[in-house]
Amino acid sequence: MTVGRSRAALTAGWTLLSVLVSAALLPASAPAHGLVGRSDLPLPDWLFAWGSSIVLIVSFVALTLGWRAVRFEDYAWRPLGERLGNAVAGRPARIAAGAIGVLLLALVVWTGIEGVDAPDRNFSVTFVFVTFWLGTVVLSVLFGDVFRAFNPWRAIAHAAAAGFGRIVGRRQTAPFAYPEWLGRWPAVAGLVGFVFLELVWGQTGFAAAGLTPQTLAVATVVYSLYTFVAMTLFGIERWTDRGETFTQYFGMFASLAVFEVRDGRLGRRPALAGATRWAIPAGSLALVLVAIGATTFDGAQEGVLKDPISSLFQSLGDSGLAPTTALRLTNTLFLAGTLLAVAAIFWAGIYGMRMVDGKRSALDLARRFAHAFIPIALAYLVAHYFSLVVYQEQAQFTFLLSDPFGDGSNLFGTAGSGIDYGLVGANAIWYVQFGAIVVGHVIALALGHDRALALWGDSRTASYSQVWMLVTMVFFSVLGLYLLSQANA
Amino acid sequence: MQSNGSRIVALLVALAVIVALFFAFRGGEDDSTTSAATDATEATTAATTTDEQDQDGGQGTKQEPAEPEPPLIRVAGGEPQGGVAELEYDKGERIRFSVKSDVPDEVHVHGYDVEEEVPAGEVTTFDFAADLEGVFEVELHESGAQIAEITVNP
Repeated sequence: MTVGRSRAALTAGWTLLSVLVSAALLPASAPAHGLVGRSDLPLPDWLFAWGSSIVLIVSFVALTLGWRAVRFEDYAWRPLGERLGNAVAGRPARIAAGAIGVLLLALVVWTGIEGVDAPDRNFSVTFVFVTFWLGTVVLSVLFGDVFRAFNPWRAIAHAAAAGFGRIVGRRQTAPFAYPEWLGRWPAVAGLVGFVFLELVWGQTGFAAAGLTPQTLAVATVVYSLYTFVAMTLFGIERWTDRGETFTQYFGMFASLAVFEVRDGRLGRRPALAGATRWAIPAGSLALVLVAIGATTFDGAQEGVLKDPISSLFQSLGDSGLAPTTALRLTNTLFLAGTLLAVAAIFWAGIYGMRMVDGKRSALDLARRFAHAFIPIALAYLVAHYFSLVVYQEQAQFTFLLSDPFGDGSNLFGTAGSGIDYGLVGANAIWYVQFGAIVVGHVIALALGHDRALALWGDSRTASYSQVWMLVTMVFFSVLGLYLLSQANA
Repeated sequence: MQSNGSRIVALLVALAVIVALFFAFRGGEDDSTTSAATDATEATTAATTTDEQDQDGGQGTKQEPAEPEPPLIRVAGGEPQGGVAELEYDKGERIRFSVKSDVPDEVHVHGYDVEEEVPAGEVTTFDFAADLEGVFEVELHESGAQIAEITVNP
């Protein structure tokens, strides 16, 4: 590696960066459509400009003034006190958590099949797509890998295995060894499937039908059966550790948390440090990129991609397709395109990094830096779904709790309450969106910088390589702000 | 490489730039809000269908100069004529619009949860305070079509 080459890489990086930022400042406009009848106002232009500038400045400062000793790698894990550890991670707590998980799974299927068709008045839809899908991410970041404890499929499988073992007199071992090369790929497939169900199948609008609670219940049953088969073939814990979609997805965010359970004991680790070990299994990179890509697509379809989606839908409809089919086909194509675009941007950064260190393969570099994009995936989620969570959770804990089937019952006396859309104003939402993207960007930079130091030792090479990672991160952060500024504009 | 002193200086400079940028963009915002607001008022008035006022203006609506005619959304066969109407207001204003449908239906303003029957062939006027910020859908319950989008800016 010569200094001249690194300088060229550095200059090229900054040039690309300025091109990206100026490209992001281009205007666009499109009409709006929301899933729940209310959507956020677009992020004001001044906040977008301010946010992008801060992202750039922070990146530059981080690059020139970053620390020179590795901080997050090889972190220390210290167990918490015996009593607390047992209360949280002990056997009674595990059984209770598993039972709650199973109860909620049963409730989703039951309300999905028996409840009203209206998605907003049926417990299952809000629970799965908001409380479970988004709420668990929040819990994971705060408290660690909580979903593993509540995982209903794992709990049912363990109970069944224990019962079966008692009858035949010994515990069964899994007939197949889980192939290491498969890594997290089944979870990636599961994530794409879930996102497809949510954003393509369930997308209302135009003349298409959305996702009915019945479809959701059927999908839940199908996924449950698939999980039980996989657990039987490869072992319950093995499948949970690699292939089970939701454990892997939520576990990705849990890797940022301070709490970690090891050998059944609850302990503490430095914040963010857990992420450094997360991306080792195959398919981890794809999981992060799909998480980013899915939110990108959801944000883009209510702004930047609104018009292209609309026109492709029109031409497919004109060519004789039924509206529902045309809309789903259109959204499938755009979702796939968005996922590919997100992956392409990531790989561009990786290939740039190879200019600094040609000895490492691109795949090796990609795997080593994948974890640094988890905070960006998290920032995207917070920015895009903050208001949805605030509003829909009011529904979840009032009328959806008292009247889960939408049949007029009032179990806890809260069926009459509705959603107060005045709870948070537009300004509060904007600052949360802006704050999430900026903070996510800073954390991503920190993780990337630390890995570069660990990989190359001297801070000079680390900095040169970092320019490329930085360009990619700046792109995603500015893109995130841009999508927000164009949503429903 | 760098001493701690130069690091602190660089950090302070970066902070100063960030603060300066905040005020620079923030200052621009005040201008753009006022102009956006006037644009919005213009757009709303422009959205009012001009030919309809001639036809329906004679049937009983009194000439009140303070209250301009609310924009009228015509619905035929369960679909809004001329696409989804875009209405924009600032918080604290009154949201006013009228709907005239060729078949009876029910209009639902999401978020505000305003629901009102619209009898066939009659002009039904909606008038309520814009006290929730955001973008809200207005849809017909029978046909399920979205007829308007109400934007309320803070």
